Amino acid sequence: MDKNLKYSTNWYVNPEKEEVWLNRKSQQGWALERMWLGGLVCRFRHCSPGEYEYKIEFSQYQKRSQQWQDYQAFLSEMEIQCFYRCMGIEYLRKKADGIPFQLYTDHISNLLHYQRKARVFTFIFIEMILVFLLCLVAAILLLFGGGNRIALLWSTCTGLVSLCCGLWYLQVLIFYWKKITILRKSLDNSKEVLEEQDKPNRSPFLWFCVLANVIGAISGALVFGFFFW
Amino acid sequence: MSESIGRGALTEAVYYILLSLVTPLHGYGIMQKASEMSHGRVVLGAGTLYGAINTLLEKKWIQAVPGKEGTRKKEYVLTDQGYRVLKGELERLRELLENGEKVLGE
Repeated sequence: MDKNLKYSTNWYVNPEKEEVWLNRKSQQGWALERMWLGGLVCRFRHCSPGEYEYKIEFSQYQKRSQQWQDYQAFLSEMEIQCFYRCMGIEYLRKKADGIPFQLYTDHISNLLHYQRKARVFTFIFIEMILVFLLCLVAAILLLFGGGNRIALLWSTCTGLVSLCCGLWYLQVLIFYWKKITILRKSLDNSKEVLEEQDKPNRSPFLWFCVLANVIGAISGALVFGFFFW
Repeated sequence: MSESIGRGALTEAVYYILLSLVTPLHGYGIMQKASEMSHGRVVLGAGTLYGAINTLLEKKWIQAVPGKEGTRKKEYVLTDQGYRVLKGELERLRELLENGEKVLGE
């Protein structure tokens, strides 16, 4: 079979592991060709073992902005191609040429890169814990207030799922915080470093999270209100 | 010398980027030249290099120049201010080297 479909098991959970997975597939002779649903479903095609190398980047530029286009043009000079982007997360690919595929090779740019990733996962972690706390309050009110059983079951299940997701994201965050701590300690506290860190460094993925939260909060309140009253 | 007062040392990456841009060069060329001059020791990742070039453009230590005809590659070159910064850094490194050799007697 020339092509096969796989589901990404590290989809939006652990970009480091996903990178390792994509590069291991490439070593086994399977090159990532196309993705759907934000990267959840991946299609691979046959290639020679190790033909391509992959990196996942949390972009600091809005898509179609001049800065993003300049960055893509710059990457294409190095024969690096961004072949998929969704919600600010980019999948980059380069043909293996004996030179290790590294995007960030000094402490400052590595620090900013890990801070971008940590910021996104911190947001998601806080969101999961908030949902868990809301569901906990709702479940207590429903249990002692004699509310609808379906609503109680909904709150309990949603709360447990949110707690599990939150704890899962926490272990990813701990990994990034450790990296950030090591990089901060190894950097001199020079004015130049502080200037670098003052630059806007937000991933566009955060805007999607804010929008998803607003929509989720409104729908959750409507559903909760329907069941509770 | 006055360029280095209050500025601190340049990182190796920035030093080699400035050194590579004494003559106009594009991004990939900077990467190759820095690696060549440092015998493979200083490796500039694409993300690091892009960030550094933008910072140096903002500081006006380098400027963009139109690329050669027929290519879409942007090229960069050192400005007068960048040249003074590089000379200042060289003086600082020379002082470090001289004092080190004096004390260690090599």
